[in-house]
Amino acid sequence: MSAAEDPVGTLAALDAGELWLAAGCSSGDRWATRELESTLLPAVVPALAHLRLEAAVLEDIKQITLQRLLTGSPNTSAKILEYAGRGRLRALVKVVALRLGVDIIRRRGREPTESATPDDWLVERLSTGMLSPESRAMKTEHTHAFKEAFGVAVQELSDRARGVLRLHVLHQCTIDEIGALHGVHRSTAARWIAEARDSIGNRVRRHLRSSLGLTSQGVESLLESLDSQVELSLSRLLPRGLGS
Amino acid sequence: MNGEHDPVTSTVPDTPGPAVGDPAGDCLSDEQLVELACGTSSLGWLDQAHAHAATCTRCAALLAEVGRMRARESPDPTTVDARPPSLSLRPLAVGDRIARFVIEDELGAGGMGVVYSAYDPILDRRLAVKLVGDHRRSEQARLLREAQAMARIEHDNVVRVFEAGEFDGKVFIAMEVMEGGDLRQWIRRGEHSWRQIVELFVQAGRGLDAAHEHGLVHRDFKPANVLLDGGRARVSDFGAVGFISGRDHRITSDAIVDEPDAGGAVTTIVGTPRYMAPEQARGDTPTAASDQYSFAVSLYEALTGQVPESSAQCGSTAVAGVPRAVFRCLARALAPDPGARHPTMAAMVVVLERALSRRARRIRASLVGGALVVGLGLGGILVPLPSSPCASPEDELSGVWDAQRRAELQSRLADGRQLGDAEWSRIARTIDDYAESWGHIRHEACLDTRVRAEVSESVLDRRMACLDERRIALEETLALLLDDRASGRELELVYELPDLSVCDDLSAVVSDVALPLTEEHREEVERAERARAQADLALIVGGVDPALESIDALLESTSWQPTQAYLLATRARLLLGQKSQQALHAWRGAYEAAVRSRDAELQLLLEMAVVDYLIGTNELDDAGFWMSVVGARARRKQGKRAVQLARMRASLARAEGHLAAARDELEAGIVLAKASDSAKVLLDVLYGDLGGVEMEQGNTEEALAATELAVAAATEAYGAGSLRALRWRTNLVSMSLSRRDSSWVERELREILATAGSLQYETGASQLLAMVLRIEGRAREAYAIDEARSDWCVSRLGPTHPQTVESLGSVARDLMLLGDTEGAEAMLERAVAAPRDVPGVSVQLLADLSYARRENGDLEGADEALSRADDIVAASPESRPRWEAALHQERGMLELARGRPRLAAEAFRRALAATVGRAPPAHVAVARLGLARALRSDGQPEQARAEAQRALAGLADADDGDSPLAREILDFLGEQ
Ligand SMILES: [Zn+2]
Repeated sequence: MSAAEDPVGTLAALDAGELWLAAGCSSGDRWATRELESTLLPAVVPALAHLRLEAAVLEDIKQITLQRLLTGSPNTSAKILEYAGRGRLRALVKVVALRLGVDIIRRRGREPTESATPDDWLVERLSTGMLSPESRAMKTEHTHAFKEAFGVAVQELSDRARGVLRLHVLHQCTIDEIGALHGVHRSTAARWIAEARDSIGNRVRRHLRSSLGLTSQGVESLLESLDSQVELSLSRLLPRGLGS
Repeated sequence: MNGEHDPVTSTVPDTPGPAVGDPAGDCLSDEQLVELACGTSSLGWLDQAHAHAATCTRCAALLAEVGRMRARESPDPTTVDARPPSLSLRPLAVGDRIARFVIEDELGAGGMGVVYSAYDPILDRRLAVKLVGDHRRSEQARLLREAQAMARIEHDNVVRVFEAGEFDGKVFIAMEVMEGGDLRQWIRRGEHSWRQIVELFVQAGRGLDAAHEHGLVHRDFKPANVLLDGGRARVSDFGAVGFISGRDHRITSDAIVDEPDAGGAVTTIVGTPRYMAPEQARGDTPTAASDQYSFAVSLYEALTGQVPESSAQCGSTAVAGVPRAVFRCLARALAPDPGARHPTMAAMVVVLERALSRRARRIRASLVGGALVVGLGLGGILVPLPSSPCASPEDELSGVWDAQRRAELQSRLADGRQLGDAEWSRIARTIDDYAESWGHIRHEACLDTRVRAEVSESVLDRRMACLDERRIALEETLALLLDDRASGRELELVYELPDLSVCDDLSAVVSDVALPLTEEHREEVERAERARAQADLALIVGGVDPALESIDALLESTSWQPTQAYLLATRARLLLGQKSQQALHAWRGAYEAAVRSRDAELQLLLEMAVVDYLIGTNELDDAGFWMSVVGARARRKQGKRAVQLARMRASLARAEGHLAAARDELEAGIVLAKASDSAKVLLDVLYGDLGGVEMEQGNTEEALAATELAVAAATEAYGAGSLRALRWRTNLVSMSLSRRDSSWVERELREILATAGSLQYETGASQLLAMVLRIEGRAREAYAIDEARSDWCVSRLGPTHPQTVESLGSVARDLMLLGDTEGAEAMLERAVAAPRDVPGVSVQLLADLSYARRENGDLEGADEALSRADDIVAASPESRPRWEAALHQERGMLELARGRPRLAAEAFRRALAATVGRAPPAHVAVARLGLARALRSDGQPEQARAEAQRALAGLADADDGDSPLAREILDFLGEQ
C-alpha cells in the first residue's frame, strides 16, 4: 500500500513531509514533535480499539510510543528516520502501540496460568465445542479419543490452514480481516476456512474409526452420531456463510 | 529474522508469560509487522509467522490485531461486515464470544445476569465473564461506567476485573476466577480468634478503600461478598458488578434472601437489609460512608454472632479478649448520621490495625525493643508528593550523599582501612555517578509530568516509588560502609546498587513497579529495604541470626503483599547462604509469595539463589531443573544478568563434571562481560572460575594464566588492595604450590597478608600459610597464625559461623602437632558445639576430637565422639568412603586402647576395605599397621607380621620407603 492509498493519511500523503517530520523529530525540534503527536499518534486509538483499553491507558501508550520512536540506541539513529520516506511511519506507530497494548493486557493478567500454547487451545476449543452441550450425556469414556483425534487432525493441517483457523476460532477474526491480513479476497479466506474445516472433519472421523476400532456395531453407531456431532460443532464454531 | 535486536523491539519488556518451551522460530519484529500492516509481506513469510504463532500467544495476538487493523483501513466496499450476528435472540453457547472472550461454559445465572467461564486469547487463560443488563438506558450507562472504573482498580484486596464493556446491549465484566470460598462461609466454620477475624476484615476494608479512591461505592458490602484465597481477602460484587436493582434481593425483616424474586418487583433500593445503612434503606444514594456502615455491621456480627442494635449498644459491647477499641471503632462507623462516621474507610482501617498491633506490639517489644513500633499515623493516604514539584537535581540527595557524607566516608575508609587513593577515588566516583544519575532521572520524571505534561500523574507516582527504593538502597549501602562491623568486604556492594534505568523506562515502570498505596506501605518498603541491606551485610561479614530475627519481626508487622514477598525472599537468601536445613522450606514459601505478587524479577532472583544452593549441596538434578527455568525466564536478559547466568551454567556444568562445557560457558560469559559496562565488574570472577576449571582438568599453565587475568581484572575494577584481587592472588599461590619452592610461597603469602590489612583473614592467605608451615614442620608458627585467625572469626563472625568452626579445627591440629592434646581437645569441644549442617566438617572434627580424648585417656568420651560421627555418616544419603575409612581407623585405635583387639581388628579391616584402591598408599599402610597391632595383641604374631610387611611393601612401591610411617612400621617389626 503506498502512502497515497492511505485513506486516513493527511501528512503521510507526502513522503517528503514524513521525512521532514522525522528529521525534525529526531533532531529534537519541539514543533516537529508536536506535529507528530497531533497527526500520527491519534491513529493509535482506532488501531487499538479491539483491545478495549481505558482512555488513560491509551494516553500512556501514546506517550511511550512517542518515546520509543524518538529515541534510538547509541549506535543507531532514531527508529523514526528508518521508516520515514518509505511511507511506513504511520504503520510503525500503530505496530509499536499495538505491541504495547497487547503486552499491557498480558501483563495485567500475569500470574501462573495453564501451560498451553495457542494450538493446545485450538484443539481444546474444537473438541469441547463438539462435546457440549448436546453430547454431554455421552462424553465420558470417549472424551479422550475425541480430543486426541482433534489434536492429530489439527497438527496435520498446513501452517496456513492452522493459522487461519486460529485467527478465526480463537481470535474472532472475520473472513474480511483474514483476507486483508493475507492480501487475498474475502472469498479466498472463506474457502481456506471451509477447506480446513472439511479437512478436520474427515481426519477426525478417520482417526476415531482407527482408534475406537471398526468391528463393533456399537462403535459404528456411536461414530454415526459422532459424525453429526462433528458437523454440528464445526458449524457452530465456524458459522458464517462459508459455502459448503 | 535474525537474532539482532532493533532498538524498538529490544526495549519492549519481555513478558515471560505462559509460553511452553521455546516457540518455533523468532518472534515477529516491528519491521515485519510494519510490512504486514502495509500489505507487502509474502504469503510464504506469513506461513512461517503462523508456524511461530502456533506456540507463541503474544505473536498470535499481534497477527490477529494487525489483520483487524488492515481490514479496517482498507474496507472493501463490495462486502458487508461479516461480524457475528447479534446473539440476543438465543442464549450464548460454548464457542460463542463476548467481545474477544470465547465462552467455555456457563457457571451460573441469577435474576439479572449470567456468569460464564471463558477463554481470553490475549491473556491466554480462563476467566469469568459476567453479562448483566438493565432495560433503563440511564442505569445501563451507570453500570458501564462503574464496571470500567472497576477495571482500573488493581488492588490485592479487590477481585480483579480485567475488562468491561458493552456487548449486545448488555454490560460484560471479565474478571478473575476465584476458587476459594467466601468470608461468610469462613465465619460459619467458627472458632476463629478475634485477631484472625479483624485481620481479614482489615484486608477487606483496604479493598473497599481502594474502590472509594476510584470513586466507586460498593452498595452491598457483606461477608458473602468477600472472597478468600489462601489467607487473602478480596472484595467482589461491587454495585455494578454484582447487582442491578433490588430484584436480586427480596427485602424481608430478618433474613437475607439471595434468590431472585420471581415476581420481579422493581425497587431502586440496592443492598442487603441486614447490613444496610439507614440512609440507604431510606432510598438515598449510598455513599462511601454507607459502605463503612455495612462493613461495621458485618464485622460486629462476625465478632459477636449478632447484628448491633445501635451505635451506642455497639460502643458498650464487651467480648472477652477483644479490645474495647475495636467496638468503639465500630460504634463510630455505625453512627446514624453519615457525617459522624470515620472520615474514610482508610481511617477506620487504621484504627482497627492499631487495635491489632497494640496487642502484638506488647509481645514484640519484649523481643526486640521499641525499634519496630509500627508507624500508623497516616495510613490510607496516598503518597504525598514533594510540595515543590521539581526540586533541582543536586538538592534531591542532600543528607544521603553530599559533600559532608562524602568527607565522612573518605575519612572512615582512609583512616580505618588504609584504603589507597586509587581505591577511594574509584568508589567515590561510582557513588557520585549513581547519585547524579538518580537526581537527573528524578528531575526529568518530574518535569515530564508537572511541567511538560507529557506523562500522567499515575506514571509519575510509580517512577517516584521506583526512585525511592533506589534511594533507600543507596542510603543503606552507605550505612554499611560506615558500620562498625565493616571490614572492607562490603565495599563491593557499591558496585551492586540496583539498576536506575528501570525508573526511566516508562513501560517498565508502568508494568513492573508496584505502587505502595499508603504511607504505611511506603514505610514497610523502607524497613524491608533496610532489612535486606543488613542481610547482605550479614551474608558477607556474619551476624546472620540477628538479621533473621529482625526480618521475622518485620514480617509480623508487614501487611503489604509485595513487601512480604520481598522479606520472605531476603530471609530465604540468608538461609540458603547458611546452607541451613530450613533453607529449602523457606525458599518455597518465598517463591510462592513472589509468584502471588506477580513479581517476575523477584522470582528470577530466587530461582538463581536456589540454583546456587543446589549446586552447593550437590543436588544437581534439581539444580538443572531450576537452571532451565532461569534460562527460560531470562532468555532476553542482557548485561550483568546474562553474565551471571553464564557463570551459573558454568558452575552447574562444573559440578556435573562437564569441565569442557563449563569452560565454554565461562568463555562466553567473558565475551559478554567485556561488551557490557555494567558487567565488567564480574570479569574477574569469570576468569577466576576459569582458572579453577583449568586446574581441575590438570592444565596448570592455563589455570595460572586465567587466574593472572582474574587478578588483573579485579585490580582494574576494584583496585590492587581489594579483597577480590587479593583472593585471586592467593589462588594463584595455591595453584603454584607444586612448582615453586616454599620460600617463594611464604614470601608471596606474607605480602598478600600485609597488603590486605584488616581484610587479611578473608583472603584465605593466612589459612594457606598456616597449612604450608604445618607441612614444613613449623607447627608453632602455624599455631600463631591459626590462633589469631580463629580469634578474629569468633569475634567477627560469631562462634557458629562455618569459618569459625574450621579455624578452631585448624588450631586443634596445630596443638596436636605441638603435643598439647588437652588444648586441642578444648578447641575441638568448642568447634563441635556449633550447630553446623555441613556433615563433612562435623565428621572430621568429631574424628579429631575422638583422637584427642583418647590421647588424654578419656576412652568413653572418645567412643561418644565417634558414635556421633557414625550417626552423621549413616544419615548421609551418599556413601563417603573417605569419612568411613577415617572413622574405622579411629575406632580401631580406640578398641586397641581399650584392650579389645578383636573389635579393633574388625575396624581396621573395614578401614582397609574403604581405602584400598581409593586412598593414597600411606592411608592404606596406616590401616594395615593398625591391623597388624590388633592381630599381635590378639595372639596372632604371624599374621601381624605379614600385614606389617605388606604395609611396608606398599609404601616402598610408592617411593615412600623411608618416611616416618615406614620407620614406625620397621620399629613395629623389630619389637618382636
Ligand atoms: Zn512470538
